[in-house]
Amino acid sequence: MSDASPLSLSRLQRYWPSHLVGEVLAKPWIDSVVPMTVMVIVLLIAQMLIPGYLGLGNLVSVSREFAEFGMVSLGMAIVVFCGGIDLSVGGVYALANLAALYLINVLGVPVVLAVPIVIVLGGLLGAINGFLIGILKIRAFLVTLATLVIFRAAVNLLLLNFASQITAAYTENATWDFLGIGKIAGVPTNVVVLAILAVVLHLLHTRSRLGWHIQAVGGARRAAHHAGIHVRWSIFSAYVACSALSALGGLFYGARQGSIGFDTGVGLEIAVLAAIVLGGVALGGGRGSVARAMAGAVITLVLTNVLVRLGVQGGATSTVLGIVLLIAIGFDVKWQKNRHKILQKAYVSPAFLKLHTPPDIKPGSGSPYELNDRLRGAEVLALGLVDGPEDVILDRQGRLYTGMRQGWIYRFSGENFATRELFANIGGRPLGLAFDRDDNLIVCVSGMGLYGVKPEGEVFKLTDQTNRSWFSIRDDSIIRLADDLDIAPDGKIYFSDASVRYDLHSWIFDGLEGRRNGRILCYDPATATTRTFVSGLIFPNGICMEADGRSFLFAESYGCMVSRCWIEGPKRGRVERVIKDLPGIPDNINRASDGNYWLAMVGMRSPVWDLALTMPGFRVRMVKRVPRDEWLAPNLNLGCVIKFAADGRILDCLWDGARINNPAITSMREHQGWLYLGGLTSNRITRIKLDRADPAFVGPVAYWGAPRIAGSQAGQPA
Amino acid sequence: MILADLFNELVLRRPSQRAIPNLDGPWLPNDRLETCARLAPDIAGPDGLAAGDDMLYVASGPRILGLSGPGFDQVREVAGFDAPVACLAWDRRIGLVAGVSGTGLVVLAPEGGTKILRETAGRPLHHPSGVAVDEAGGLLVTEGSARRAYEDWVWDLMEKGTSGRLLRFPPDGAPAAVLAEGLAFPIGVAQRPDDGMVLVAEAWRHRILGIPPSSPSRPQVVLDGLPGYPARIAAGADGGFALSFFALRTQLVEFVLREEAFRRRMMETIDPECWIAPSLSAVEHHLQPVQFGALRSQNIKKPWAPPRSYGLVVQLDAGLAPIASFHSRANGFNHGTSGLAWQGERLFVAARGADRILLPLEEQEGAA
Repeated sequence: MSDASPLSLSRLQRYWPSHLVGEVLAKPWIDSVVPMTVMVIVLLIAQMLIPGYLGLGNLVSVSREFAEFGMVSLGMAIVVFCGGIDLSVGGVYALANLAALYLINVLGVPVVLAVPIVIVLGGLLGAINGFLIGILKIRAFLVTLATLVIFRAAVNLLLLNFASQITAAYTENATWDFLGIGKIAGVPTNVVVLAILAVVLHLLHTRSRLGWHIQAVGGARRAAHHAGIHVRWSIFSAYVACSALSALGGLFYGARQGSIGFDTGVGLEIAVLAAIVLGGVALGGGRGSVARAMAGAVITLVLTNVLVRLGVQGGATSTVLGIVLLIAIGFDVKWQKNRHKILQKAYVSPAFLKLHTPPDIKPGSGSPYELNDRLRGAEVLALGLVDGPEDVILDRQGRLYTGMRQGWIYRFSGENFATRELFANIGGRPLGLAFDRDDNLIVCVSGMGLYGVKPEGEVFKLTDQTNRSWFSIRDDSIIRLADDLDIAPDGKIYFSDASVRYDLHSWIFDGLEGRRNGRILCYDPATATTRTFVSGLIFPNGICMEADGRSFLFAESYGCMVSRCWIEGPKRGRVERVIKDLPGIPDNINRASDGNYWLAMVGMRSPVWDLALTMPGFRVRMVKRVPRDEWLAPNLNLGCVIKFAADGRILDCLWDGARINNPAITSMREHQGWLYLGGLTSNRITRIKLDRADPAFVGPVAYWGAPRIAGSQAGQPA
Repeated sequence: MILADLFNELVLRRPSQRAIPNLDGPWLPNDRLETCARLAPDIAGPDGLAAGDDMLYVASGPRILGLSGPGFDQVREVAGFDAPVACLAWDRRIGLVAGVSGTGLVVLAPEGGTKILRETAGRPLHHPSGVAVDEAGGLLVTEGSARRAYEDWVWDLMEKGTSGRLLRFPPDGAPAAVLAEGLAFPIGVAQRPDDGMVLVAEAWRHRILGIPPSSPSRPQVVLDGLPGYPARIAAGADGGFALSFFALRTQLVEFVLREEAFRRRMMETIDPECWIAPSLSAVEHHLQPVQFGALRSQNIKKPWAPPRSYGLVVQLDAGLAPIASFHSRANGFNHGTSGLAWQGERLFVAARGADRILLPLEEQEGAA
């Protein structure tokens, strides 16, 4: 708890992979961990109580029983995935058992023919359920309760008539015995069949259209309907599949036992329900997996089996099963409810980060960053017409483009930029902008990747993934937060993926974490591939190609640094610091007309923020105990624009002292003697006249020269 | 304590004692401290207020100013000291009483002449923070902290100071009696007219203590779980009270108060202006900490942002139940409300962070 020795313990914490806890919890397979663990524990306990339980001989005999139970569990799992319940599985099981024995023993139907007949019979019984529940929309619980009673009664009636016939007509049948007691490569036949079924169903469930539909219907029936899914058909097919599987289970039971009694399949529905709930298949539907259903079946069966073997009375076994079912349901409910809370608290995982001592910015301190109010006189454009213009850019014709929070790109043109057009609708959150050689607007879209917009407004995707790194739990092939880009003379696009752990809506949490979560990617249009160029950066943000095209400058927001990275020559891929002690949080970098660079400072560090960064324990506890809105944040209410030289000298600094027009300044573009400013959360764009600037400077011309394409207009002289 | 908290929270689902209560019911936020009338002159850091017969006395740094005239727009200096004046009280019998940091109580009698009161039964009075005249003509005075001067309140908060006292100087000039000790920065003091109970506002414990005249050694908690740090309490003519808060409690500050190591390092290395602590003024320092909810969106600071500074005055009835509140929220300016003075039906409030004297009960047009 104590931060008494910050120089050792806290510093070491940066190597402690506490962020992995959250990443593991965020994985979809985390739901399976609990049932799988319980299964292993139950098996180990069984082995302890009954020596030799996990021995080969015992496993073979237990697994014979298990296979039939497992088939019914699979059927029930399908229905429960779909948001339903099938209580009639025991009845179908018994009827199928009876039918199979009657067909083979009495009527002498060949086994090859009898098997499909029994399965179809099961399917027909399921169709009754499916019709009543799926088509007529009667409650599943009531319908299947009724059909259970009916099926059972039918079994009892039929047994009265046919039991003696079936027993009397018993004949040796090799195929039938192969199904019942045969082995394939040492494994009981029915277990092999179950394994095949489980694999097929898993594939259907996770990869087929019907499987997805059933899952969707179970998750949210109305939403599935609105999404165009045939809800009735999905439900109907789930019940048919369930009964067909139950019938198959009954058939194998018949083949194994060769006889029939009044108690066949009695109470099966409860045991099966217990099994799949124990496996973590949500009774509400929409969540679960075949593997988990199987794990649950193993747990239930081993439990029952062990209790019986230990000589516990039959009633007590059911009681234990009931209690286990209760615990499983209770756990399921609590887990559902609290999983995201645990995740939320465990995900943000602050690390030790020691920033360089910031320069003094007080007025009169003589520092190049001295506070002033030079942005006060800025001209306000598009007031109230924009929402979060993170980046602004001007084309050869002097039209202004900016990305919106809603996923749009607006174009402003004409006198005082009074004409607003919806240039493109990309979706996501457009951030960094740049023009390529052919006047396409290349856009970094948070949550989507790298996109382009042709001059006529057509949107095209460049890339949305990079190479997956070897040792990451979270899938880092996704481009989660493409932030800013620039284009090298050879057409390669270098762009920052600010964080592999956070999206834009939670980008500030990445700062609270202070980890090296970001990277710079390179998209090569020649091969249409994306590769990670530099990784392990602290929220890389603005990128600007240097004039010679051999390196680019980039800003690391939460590292409060500007660095250079070579893309050519012997130092290719190497990074060197250019400015290491910024007083604030840098954002985009762009070229100035005099060969220097503009840098937007989106917010300020504060001494308390710097101190908190060196005390990860403090931030961990803050994240857990204080509500989000009350967390300590960097001061994004005060920002500035600075001009720096390629060697890192600070040449100029424009502050927004009044804090009205430019909170969270994220970008600036110089164009024909003006500097245009945009802000991440702003509702306006501003521009300020520059004193000593080249009045003819136009960004795309500076990058790509006069247009090559015949017919397009040249950059207008001032 | 922790176990009891856990039991309360998890089993009984009661809010913990540490929880900051919501602003609801009579506490519901509004902008009435922003839209209310105010006196014309700007006065630097006004704190203690006292209403005389035809004059409003204001403590402003080391000076006491007298405001007179119909709109209280004529300002003259009544007295000056070499240390800040924390609090004022006026009584026709006694004259003007000022609590001066480092000195004690200074009594400016109506007939002229100055008297300094500092002797007590124990340790002399050093850092007076609030003063009131009781029915018998005695002076009730609070000392916020034994170690920290009144203007260094933020240090005392971060040190979780509990060295405050309540003293009473009897009218005959004898040394003061200690009525209560171990208080967490008491600032406001007032006497309830109907039963003579002395009310003390304990800022760091967010509560009002009542000290019954019959048994001063057994104080009662009369108002608990306040959403902010109570400053002054003043008895009105109708038997009710006004209670001011110089800042609201926030989750972050409460959290920092539980983080010993962080707080120690913050106090050792950082300028108090930039601490995670409440502030009196809405003017933003360029290095001050900011909370997420206080980041501007659409160029606007939201009124419901977690407030670093705030203005709040609450009207209490004679039974000390809140009946109305006057707010200046996170996006407002009239913050750091402290000194209170009643003049008949009129209530004056000193907004320390805004350099203004407000009249919360009156609309803007009616005054000035």
